[in-house]
Amino acid sequence: MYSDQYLIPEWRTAPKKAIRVGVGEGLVKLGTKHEDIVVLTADLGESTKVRVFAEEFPDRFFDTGVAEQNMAGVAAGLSYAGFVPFMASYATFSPGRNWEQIRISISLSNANVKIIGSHSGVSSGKNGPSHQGTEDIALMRVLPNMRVLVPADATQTVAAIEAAYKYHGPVYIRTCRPETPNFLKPIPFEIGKAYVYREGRDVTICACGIQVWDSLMVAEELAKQGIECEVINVSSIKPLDEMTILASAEKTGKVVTVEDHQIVGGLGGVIAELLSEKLPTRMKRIGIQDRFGLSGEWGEVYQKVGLDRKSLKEQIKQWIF
Amino acid sequence: MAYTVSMSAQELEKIANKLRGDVLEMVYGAQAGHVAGPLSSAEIFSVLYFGNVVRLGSNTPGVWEPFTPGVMGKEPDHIILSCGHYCPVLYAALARVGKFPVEELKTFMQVESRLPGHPERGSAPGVEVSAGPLGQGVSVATGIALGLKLKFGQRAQKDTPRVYCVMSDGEIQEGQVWEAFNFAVRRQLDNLIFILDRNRIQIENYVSQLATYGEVMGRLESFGLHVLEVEGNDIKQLRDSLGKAKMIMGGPVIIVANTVAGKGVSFMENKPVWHDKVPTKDELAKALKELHV
Repeated sequence: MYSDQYLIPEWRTAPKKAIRVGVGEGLVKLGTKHEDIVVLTADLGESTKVRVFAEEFPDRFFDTGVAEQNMAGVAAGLSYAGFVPFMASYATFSPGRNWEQIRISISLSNANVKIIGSHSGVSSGKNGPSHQGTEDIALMRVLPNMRVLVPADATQTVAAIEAAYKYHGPVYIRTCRPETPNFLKPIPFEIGKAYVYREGRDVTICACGIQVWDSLMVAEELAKQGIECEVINVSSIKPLDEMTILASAEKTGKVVTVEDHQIVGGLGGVIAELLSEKLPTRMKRIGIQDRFGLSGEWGEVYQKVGLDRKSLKEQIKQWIF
Repeated sequence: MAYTVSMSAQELEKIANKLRGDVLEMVYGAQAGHVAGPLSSAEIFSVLYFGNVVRLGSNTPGVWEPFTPGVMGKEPDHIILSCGHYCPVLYAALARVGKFPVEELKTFMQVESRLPGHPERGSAPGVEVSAGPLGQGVSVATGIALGLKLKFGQRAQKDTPRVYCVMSDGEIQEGQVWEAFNFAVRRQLDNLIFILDRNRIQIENYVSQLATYGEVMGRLESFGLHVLEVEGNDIKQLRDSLGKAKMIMGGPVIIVANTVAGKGVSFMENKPVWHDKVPTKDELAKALKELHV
């Protein structure tokens, strides 16, 4: 029922590691082999976790200072000169503040630039809504040429960095701040594939980011009450693995989306667009409900917005009956 | 037209006027597009593409060779147009220098033309960046210059390709431009040469009426750029300044080219309304006569 192929045996009690840590690990791993990788940040090297690359390869690391618009342009220029730039900041600043630079200098130009948006979602916690990227998926997936990846743990992030490098063209990778279970096996990240981690007949849960592990735990609790959930990690938001999602929706007839992002334009929006066009299915979108986040400790903030496991369980249970 | 042979100032002036004629015919043909800036900067484009200052590649600049560390000496210089609305004069220069047929200029702004209303990277040979939203090309040029330094070494040498970035004086109202200047200066990108077409008008008004941020030269200098000021419609001054700029080491250079908006056509000169006005048939004929093309 649970996938041995993707989950480590002790996934329920997996050691914790922040998703953002996978960024630095992936870059260092690739940087040794590939001299064309360069990394940029706008004064956020430590918290986006690209600092380790700077320590290893100081000549290929560039801090633009607090200037995200210029960072996007410089990254585009570096890619035109034959390099493969990874540019990292908080999602709310990049792609938040430099969206138009990304649109013209990177997306329209099909520049081979990889954009890393850290501190996504309200899980970034105490700094409040100005620092919580809750619209970045929507901002990026609306751009032609752009690929949008949301890894679910640090291990998958390492793989996503490698996949982004191998793919020629612009890629957005969304990462998170808190320490979360590192529960996946190290396998290559396939752009355009959704992963079924648990099979079930009653309801499909499509999740991304740190909500994937939470959804698995919720599924386990619901199973005790006789509700069998199918849990899918939609780590490639764009392109979307339509076949996997449609097959599951056809089987269960009910689809829930779970994300730490606005339900408008995010994963909820993506799945709603797919289902309404190709297979109208009863669905519910759980996520940020057209509001801003708030300051506070991660767990408490999740309770406030309804993303803690207890709320997830209740919302799904009430809805399916 | 052979551009490896050194041309006289007189010949380059003739080319500038030919480019002006091309611009007006393109804008008239498309019944859209910008006039004042392409006309004010015609000498800049004449010198860049025909003045034997810039190493023009025989390859297609829109398509890049894969990265090979350690290989140098064969890469051409780069000409980046940041103020994208100047594109008629860029397209005209690229056609006249032989990147694509001059005939193709007639397709400007048409569906499926390689010459869209604002430049799109790689749409036609020699179109190196997408531009239109102001300020972006300045950052991209900076990134290319940085990439070339990574390949060719920190010290600019004879073989290090240069990046020439044409920008406008309305454009520097964008904050991104100053972000890029900061970065280029700190990185000591002495293979990067900005050419500021200072024609003193923008779409709605004179620049002086909209931007009250003090004196341009002083601001550029205080940012740490090497500033050269020239009469931007004077071929000889432009060519000399570009030669000088290539010799300046330690950081980026900006050539402030004082130009006349709508230069070359008496009734278009210095009038903000001609920023993006389409000439009538009579106006076009009159203008072409004045330009002797």
